[in-house]
Amino acid sequence: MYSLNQRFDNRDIPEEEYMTPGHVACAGCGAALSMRLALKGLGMPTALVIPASCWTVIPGLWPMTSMKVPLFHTAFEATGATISGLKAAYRKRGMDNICVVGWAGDGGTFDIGIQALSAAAERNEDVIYVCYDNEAYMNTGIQRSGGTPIGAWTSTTPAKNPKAVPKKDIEEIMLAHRIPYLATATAAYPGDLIAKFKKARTIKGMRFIHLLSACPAGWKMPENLSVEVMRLAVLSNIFPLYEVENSEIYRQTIIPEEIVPVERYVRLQGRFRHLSDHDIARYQEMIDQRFERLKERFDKTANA
Amino acid sequence: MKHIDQKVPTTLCAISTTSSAVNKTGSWRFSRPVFIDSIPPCSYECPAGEDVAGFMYLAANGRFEEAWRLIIKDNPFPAITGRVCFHGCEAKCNRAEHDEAVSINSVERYIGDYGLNHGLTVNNNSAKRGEKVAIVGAGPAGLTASYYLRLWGYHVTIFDSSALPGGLMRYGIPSYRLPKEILDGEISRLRQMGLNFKMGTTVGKDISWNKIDRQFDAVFVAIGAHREATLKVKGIEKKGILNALRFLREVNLGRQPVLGKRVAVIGGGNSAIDCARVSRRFDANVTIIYRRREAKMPANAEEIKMAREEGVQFLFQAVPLEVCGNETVAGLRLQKVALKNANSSDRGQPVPTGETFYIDCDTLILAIGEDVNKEDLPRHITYKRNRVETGHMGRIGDSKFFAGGDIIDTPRTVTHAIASGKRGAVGIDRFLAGLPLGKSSLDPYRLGDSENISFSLTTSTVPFPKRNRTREVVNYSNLNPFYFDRRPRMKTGIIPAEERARSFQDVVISPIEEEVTTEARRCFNCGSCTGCGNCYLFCPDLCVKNDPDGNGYTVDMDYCKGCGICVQECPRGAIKMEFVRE
Repeated sequence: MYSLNQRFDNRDIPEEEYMTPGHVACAGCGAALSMRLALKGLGMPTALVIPASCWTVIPGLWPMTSMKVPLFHTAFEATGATISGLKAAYRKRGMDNICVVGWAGDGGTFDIGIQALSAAAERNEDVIYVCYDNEAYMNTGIQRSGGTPIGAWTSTTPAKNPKAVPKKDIEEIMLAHRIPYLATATAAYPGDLIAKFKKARTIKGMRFIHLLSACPAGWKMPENLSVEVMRLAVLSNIFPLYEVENSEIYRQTIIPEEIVPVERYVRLQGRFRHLSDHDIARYQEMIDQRFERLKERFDKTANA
Repeated sequence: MKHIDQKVPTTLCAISTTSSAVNKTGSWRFSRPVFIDSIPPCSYECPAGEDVAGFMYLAANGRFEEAWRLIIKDNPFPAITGRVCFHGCEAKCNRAEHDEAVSINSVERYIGDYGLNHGLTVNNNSAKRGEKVAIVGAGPAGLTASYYLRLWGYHVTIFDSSALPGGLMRYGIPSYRLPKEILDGEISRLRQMGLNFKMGTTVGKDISWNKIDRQFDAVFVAIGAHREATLKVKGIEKKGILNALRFLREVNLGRQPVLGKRVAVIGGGNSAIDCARVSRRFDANVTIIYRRREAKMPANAEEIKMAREEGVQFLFQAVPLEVCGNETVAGLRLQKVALKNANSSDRGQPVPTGETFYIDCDTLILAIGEDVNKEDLPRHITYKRNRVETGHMGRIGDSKFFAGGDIIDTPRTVTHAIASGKRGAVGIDRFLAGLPLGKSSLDPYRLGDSENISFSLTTSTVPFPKRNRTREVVNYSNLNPFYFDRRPRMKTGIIPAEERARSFQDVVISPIEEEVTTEARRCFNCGSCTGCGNCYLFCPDLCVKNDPDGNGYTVDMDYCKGCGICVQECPRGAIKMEFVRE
């Protein structure tokens, strides 16, 4: 049975699972859900490289693992280098069909791992780099990162003195490397996420996928709202879903029928509790401005 | 579960060898998701307790025969109710808060017509029973009771004083609302079930109540209310004054009524509207006179609108004082009334203002209601506010007599009559089996605290799995509206007013299949698991799985951490969180 009246038809979602239950992600973890869906899109054969991050812990303590694909744990700053090396090793051994995927958090991407990532992108290594972005160093206790949005509380940017600078525009950084494929995705839109991973697998060269990944503990919200919050990020244009081919052709893949105010997204999360209506209005302006810049590029593609 | 059990060939680095499946994360949980089956507001509101969400789902998939079979579990006349039901279901539809209510009535009409057009018959294969049941009155209540009792294997004999069965559905409702061939089609299906019709037989006259009492093991009485109320005004004995039901009966028998050119109808109910619209079809100028405001009319708002479009005029807050004329009606002297205490809940009490006026008319139709004619009923019956007093399942006292339809205390609509017939049939079935007939004995078939019985929602697992039935009615806040886009309600095709005021043809144009499936897809299927897969898809812990028995999904409690995403993302409110100490 399925539903004819529902907005999304889930029948196209691959049934195969590449993870086992028993992993130790917190209840309602967006990162665990993102990985589960991403692997459905990637399929086999795939090899994962994960630096220090929540995902170092999630698969379980040695000798356990929740993965049905090989996973190599690497150092915080080394994801870009490790995936490059792993891919080269597989190629040398005649196993070029294996898709090598680096899976790092926002800390490991925006801050600590950016040098290795930039170098791998510059060399246009034939790998997929995924940043699952929960907007702070969640695993070590919610310290601010380059991915933390302006105004957010973290343990190092307390409510009295919240983060004063906006989130790094990681997409623009990556596109400046002229990579063949970049996409944003979130588990709130599983069909879109899976389609992007499927597509990424068919492309050669450096592919970068930016996943917004809710963290109930760090965002200070109830676990059951993970998906709802990720969806509101999309519907409010805080995290528009799009893909860019050859760093040139922008395409918005999910176009909200009606834009919701950022306030709805912000007010669900305790990390923004201290924000005044004035702060939220300013945040709304910033989001609108950023989206306008993107929209020009979407329109350019759509009208071409 | 695939474990990664491998020999470690090198000591260069640590390699995991065991699946995390050994780690039962279910122990983290302090609340757990439970699949539930809650009551959709439409079904809760439906006197017949139809599984609207279910037949909508089947119709959306083009499975019309299954949809028809689902409806007739609760209502033997979908093609009739699809036309004449007041559809309170639509007033409570959760979709109304989203965009517009689903046109449940149109879809039911199509499904009912589908059954007629495809000659669908009832599977009547239950074991035969020896007991004999008499049904007195072949209206919607009596026919419904006979349908169920026959279905359960009893010998059923139906007595009615008219020549043809149908009661008010045949002799009251005009054919532009309910074409006779639709009525005949629905009743002929009942005939095929092996009912014994004794038409033209008035019980109490042609055959005595005592004889019925002796010959039958149980009796269901639903003879309707026929005692005409009359107005206490001067000149009410004049010629040219008609009673609404008698007037409608004449017309429905195909006779030409004696009607003037200027007709006044007194009353504000559906029969007043029927009389007015019928009179328009005989080319009369018609005015409806009602003592309260339009908003307080008991008649269906759609009927009022159509009557107005057809040229019926309305005079509100007026009461007749005198019928003028010599021997025949020539006019009416009326008095304006004010309304005391009228508000949203109270219809208000009309009080005379003293201001009088006069209107011309040569025919006056009284549509001011009918009472139960006590002389037509057996003597042992007791009454309460002029209605037959009954127990929970229509039983009269401790006797073998049961009652339903317009003679008991229930709103006078076809659908309520169907509901009373069904309740009576359950009562008779239990009575003959020697089972108790208390209030709680209907609980297994009732929807929450509603009085209505639903067989489809309580006994059928088609089309949705029924697990953990709750007594809660689903409201819009239980749904996740994100999963439903906004789409306008289907437009019901109605014949233009000038054209329909000239004929007795059905005023509504039957919808086509495509319109119906599109409309049925608008249904949220509130409170039911349609197997959409959201709970499965959004589980971060991989613990929602297809149920091996085909009943939707199950949650693997070994690993469920109790995050509640499945509950939040269920579009239909078919899962809830339960806090438990485990």
